[in-house]
Amino acid sequence: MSEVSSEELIEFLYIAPVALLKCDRSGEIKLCNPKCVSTFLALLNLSALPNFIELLTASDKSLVALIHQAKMPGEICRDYRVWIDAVEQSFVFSFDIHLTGKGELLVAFRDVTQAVNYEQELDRLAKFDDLTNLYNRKYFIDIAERETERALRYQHPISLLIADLDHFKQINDNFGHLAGDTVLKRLGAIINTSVRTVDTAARFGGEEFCLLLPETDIENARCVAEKIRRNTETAAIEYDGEIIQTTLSVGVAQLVPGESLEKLMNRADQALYSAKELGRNRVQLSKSE
Amino acid sequence: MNLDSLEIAEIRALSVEELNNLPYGVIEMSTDGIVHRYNKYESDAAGLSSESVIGRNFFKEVALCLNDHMVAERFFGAEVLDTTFEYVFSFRLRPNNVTLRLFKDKSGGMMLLLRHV
Repeated sequence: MSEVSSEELIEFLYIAPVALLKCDRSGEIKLCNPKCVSTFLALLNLSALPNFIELLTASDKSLVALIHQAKMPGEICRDYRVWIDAVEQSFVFSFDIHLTGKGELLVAFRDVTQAVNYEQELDRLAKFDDLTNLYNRKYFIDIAERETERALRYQHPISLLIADLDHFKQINDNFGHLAGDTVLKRLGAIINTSVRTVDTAARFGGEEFCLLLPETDIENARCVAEKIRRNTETAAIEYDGEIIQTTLSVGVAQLVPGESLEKLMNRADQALYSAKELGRNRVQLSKSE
Repeated sequence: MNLDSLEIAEIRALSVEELNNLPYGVIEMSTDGIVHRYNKYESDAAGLSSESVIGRNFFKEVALCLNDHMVAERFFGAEVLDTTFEYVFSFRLRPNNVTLRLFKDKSGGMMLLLRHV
């Protein structure tokens, strides 16, 4: 079998879609392929190759520390994401860095900005309700499972609120569905400003909302519920030149020892049902069984 | 001497011998990238004889490292072009700082002028 010539290897590296470079420990680039050149010159708008270590130092000091600490030949990092600021925009690069036996760095890197943006958008879509910017039902339940388990284990209080707009169908019927969306958005904002950062608020579907309040007993949960109810009642929601007013009914329940999330939600739901029965625009507490 | 102040018509009128005495690289190509003239400055810098380069497609066969959107795509994406900028050659993976001037007009094809910094 004949040896592969360096010309043949170089041909591969010329067309490689990944940027490749070799530099010494001071960061001076000794070898690089065309993709590396175009990444630095066309993407980052530089007029010459940068010093590799200086480039990283400006963006991610912990990666530079990792490189300086490396003693043994081999992998220093793989798919290490670095945010790099260029003239007008930021890029995310993924770095694979190896230390050679001669103490040089072999680096492969790619621009993964678009992939990272997609990941973030996907993550947002998986967690949030688009209309209200509150969490969605699925993500709320994930968090609620974890939080109720933790509260039970450490015997801390935790409370749950289920809120439902009163006569929401009439708003849709009288003003149209876009008006209904405006009201839901506004309620999302009211809820968002009424809760602490440790609380979790979600749109559960339709005009129903759920809130989980860790470290909160039923009396304090009632205060939060009252605040949201009052802020909803007094909100003048403007839509298409008209003022829409609406009210909110809320059911509140505190987790009791041994109770499942499902049971807790059922009790809060029953309390909400009573609030509706008793004439709406009110907060109703669930008696623990 | 700046590359961007050179008269292209004068360079085109030079004999092969005069071209070989210039202190910068000249690569004359037809609009499809086939090399017609390749002077000594660049031949020495790249380590390629002009005989081995002339008649071949410059971006596809000779300098694949320039087949990118800063050089080749600019040439092929415009009918007329005259631009000068700093660039890095990665010929045989060795980075070299160069100044490049890309010139293209409707009658005379494409010309790449370059000087190693």
